[in-house]
Amino acid sequence: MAIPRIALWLFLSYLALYVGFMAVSAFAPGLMAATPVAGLPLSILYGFLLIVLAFVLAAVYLRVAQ
Amino acid sequence: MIYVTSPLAVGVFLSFVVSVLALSWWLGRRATSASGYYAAHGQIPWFVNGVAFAGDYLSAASFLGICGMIAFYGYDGFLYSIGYLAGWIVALFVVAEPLKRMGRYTFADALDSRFQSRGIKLAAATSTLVVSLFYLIPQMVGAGVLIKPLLGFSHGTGVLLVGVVVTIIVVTAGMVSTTWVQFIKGALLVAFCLALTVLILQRGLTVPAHLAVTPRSEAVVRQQGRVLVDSDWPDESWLRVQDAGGVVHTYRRSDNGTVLGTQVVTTRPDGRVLVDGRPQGLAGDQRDLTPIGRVTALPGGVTSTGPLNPVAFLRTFHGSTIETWTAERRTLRAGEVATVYTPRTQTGADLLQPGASPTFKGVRGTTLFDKLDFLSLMLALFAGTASLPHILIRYYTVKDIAAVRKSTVVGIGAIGLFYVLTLYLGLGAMTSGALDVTNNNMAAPLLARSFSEPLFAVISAIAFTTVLGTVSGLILAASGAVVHDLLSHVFRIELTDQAKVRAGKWVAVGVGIVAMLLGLAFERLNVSFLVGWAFNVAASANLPALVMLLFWPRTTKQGITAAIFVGMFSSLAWILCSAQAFRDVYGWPPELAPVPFSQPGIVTIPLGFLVLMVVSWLTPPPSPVAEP
Repeated sequence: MAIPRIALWLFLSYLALYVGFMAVSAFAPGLMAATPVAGLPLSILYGFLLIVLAFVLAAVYLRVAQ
Repeated sequence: MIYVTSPLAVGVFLSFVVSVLALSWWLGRRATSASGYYAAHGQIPWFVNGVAFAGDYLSAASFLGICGMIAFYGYDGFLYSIGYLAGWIVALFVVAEPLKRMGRYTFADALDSRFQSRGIKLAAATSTLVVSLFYLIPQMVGAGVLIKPLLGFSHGTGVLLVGVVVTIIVVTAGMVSTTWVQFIKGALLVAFCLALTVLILQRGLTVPAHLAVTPRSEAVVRQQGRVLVDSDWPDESWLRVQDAGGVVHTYRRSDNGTVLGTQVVTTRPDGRVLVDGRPQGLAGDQRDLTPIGRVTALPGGVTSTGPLNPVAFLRTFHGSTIETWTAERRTLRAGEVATVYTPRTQTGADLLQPGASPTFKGVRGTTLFDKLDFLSLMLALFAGTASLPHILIRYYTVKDIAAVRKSTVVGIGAIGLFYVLTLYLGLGAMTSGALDVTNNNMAAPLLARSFSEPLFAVISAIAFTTVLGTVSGLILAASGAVVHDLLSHVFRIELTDQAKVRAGKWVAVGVGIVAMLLGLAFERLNVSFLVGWAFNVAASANLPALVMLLFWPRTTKQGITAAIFVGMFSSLAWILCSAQAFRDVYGWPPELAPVPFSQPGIVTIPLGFLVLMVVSWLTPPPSPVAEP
């Protein structure tokens, strides 16, 4: 019935990043406006990261779970 | 805005809908058993199922709602994209595999596999019904929105058309054809959004040659005609000038002595609509709203950028200034309601930060409650995906766990790509000069129209099939819950396999009718916003039960039943008492709303967990025999 341990770890690491996104948006909006890479604001970079990372983690899981 | 329909658009659109219907009928011929009708015999190939996940998930709300929200408010719409996608992580890593192992057709099956309790079946089936209906509202509203510019029908006709077509699909077909329709639609949607994004990048950003509505000096404006005096429009904030053609130009005074031209839509008590004082229409003495959405300045003072790459597009947008519009409703003495649309100049940098829209402005607020509203919605989006009944049933259409995993990864890939594209589509629409100031749900189709009429026809047709597909999936989920869970297990009515399918089809007709009625009632709300509510209810009702059943052996059947009912009713009650429901649904003053913020998830999801634990402690533990 239980889910594989690796799935739990991948889930928790993504959750941490997502909570980080919520926290920065709500409590450190100034940070979101900074433009660290390629002249793009952190809001855009962090958002793209969360989307791309979801796919990467899923693909990693598929590899490991086979 | 009034839309002129083109025969080409109508032709493309109708051929699309007819082919979908034909395909669905042809595929559905074989689905005569219950397992075929509700779960496609578990024989759908994983790749097809993965793209069908995208088809199910990328509903009218994703396509129309998110693009519209980005087009009007910038980054805030993208927050939905991020949250919707992140939710798949919960689906894949936490609930997918156990659910597949435990159930046969429905989510209630899986929850109840350990207990055989009628209470759980009743609770799970009720929550499936409620969530499906809630999720149906934005789909139906989206259908009405699409039909209006495309075929020239009213919102109501659009809703009825979708309702009828979808009910036909579900009744003649079932899960096999629903899946294939979703596969085709999901693939087309992603492909055409990609094409549209390429066109946006090719076009680049341009400052239109003449700007009709800019801050102007009062002296110049006064020469247009006769200045009107009216106590509905106090002199200190408004200046209204009627020209020789009878058009009333309404200007809003700004601080520095200039005035801003607005667009005013007035609805008379008898239902007649005026635009700037003239009847709305396209004839010579009538007037229609001006399309909106443009760049007012680009970085470096250039007037046109030429083709841009994806990074340069965002960077250039970041350095530009853009004209966006705000709406204000004013009730006038004669019982007329005037909506005043006022342009305002915003920097691209500001539009790429969260908090520019009314829905998310709390994130820039100063009080904790303001911020909680934002956090609560983001939490509900994260937790809601894995609790949506029409997504959960898709785990039963493939043959084994490996296929579940593989199709989920394909789904995440397709959906993730689409959500990245939404940002470009939304910002492209914002700067397209083609938007309807009165309706942000129309942004994506109007963006397509700004390129070419055929593209507009195809995009609208895809969006419409999007609605058809998602609605049929939802109706199927609701029908499964009623027949399989309620009739067979709660009321213990013995049904043959064929009778189950027949009953399911009758239920589908009933749900279809309810969906049409709801679609008519909620016309005015942004569809993405409505979906946010559905996610709140889904997450509050279903997630605590799902998660605790998997991870806490002490969970009892009473605990699960109580958690589902409490989560569902508390989140529903909260939404119905929220400021947003007061303003947009009942038309009451939002200050009277009894709850401090609009999105319940951050309170009601933990409440579901708490209730489950307390009730489980108070009731006898499940017998150890049940767990081998």
